[in-house]
Amino acid sequence: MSLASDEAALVEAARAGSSAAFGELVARHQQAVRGFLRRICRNWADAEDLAQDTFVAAWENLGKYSAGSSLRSWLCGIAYHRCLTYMRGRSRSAARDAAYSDANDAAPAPSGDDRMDLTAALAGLPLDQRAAVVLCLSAGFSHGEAAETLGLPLGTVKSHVLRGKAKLMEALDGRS
Amino acid sequence: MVGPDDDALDPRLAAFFAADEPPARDPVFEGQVAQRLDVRRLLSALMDVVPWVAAAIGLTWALWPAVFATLSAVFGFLGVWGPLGLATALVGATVWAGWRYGLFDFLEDAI
Repeated sequence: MSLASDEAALVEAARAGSSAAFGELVARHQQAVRGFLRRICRNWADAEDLAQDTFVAAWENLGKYSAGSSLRSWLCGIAYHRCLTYMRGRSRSAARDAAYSDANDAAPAPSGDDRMDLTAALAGLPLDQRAAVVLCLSAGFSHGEAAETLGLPLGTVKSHVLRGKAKLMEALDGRS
Repeated sequence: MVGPDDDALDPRLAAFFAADEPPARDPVFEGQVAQRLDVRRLLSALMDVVPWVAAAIGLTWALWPAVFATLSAVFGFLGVWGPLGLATALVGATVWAGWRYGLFDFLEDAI
């Protein structure tokens, strides 16, 4: 049985109420969802809470998932919208500053200047741009998958990734 | 890791992203999600039972004058324990019906 059809069977079983099937889906996709949230939230504790919220929301809305589409993309889309709500709940003007300071509080201690510069540069990107960069550069999403996940036009995602990557490289190379 | 549309990533950038990567399997996280889902299922099951319990209480209240008269004639010793016994029997029957039709199946996973 191929991975896709295996996953489709798990989704069907989860929809029918199987805790074990949904648990297996969580196990398979938790790394992608948590990694995505850690990188865009920059606060690991909040990212873990949002990741749990994401899977609970996914369980409640399994009926809305279209069989045949990427489950990973669907889950990251839920995670992204959870993060949007989370960010809007905080002061808009302080969101980036708080994310940067939280990164220093909650993330592991920076191992070097590169990490500090990249942390600051990534935190300085708007959330949608940050999300596009994280999905395409670290999570292995294509531009098309990222556009579907984030609900953005393909051209916008390409532009976000290009500019976001340029800013990160500028943070790296500008220091040296 | 890079997406299929991107060129190879600068190693420093790759290392930066890799530092945030969670483990491929994390039983602690998976257990936390499972616990939250169990609570959701319990609340959902309780909400499903509420209308039945309300109906049982309403039925008891509506029928009690007639039932009490009959029960008193047959079982004179019931006294004040009659309403409690009948309500308990009705609630118990409701819970049994819920269990019988699988409303609480998820508890088997939680236990």
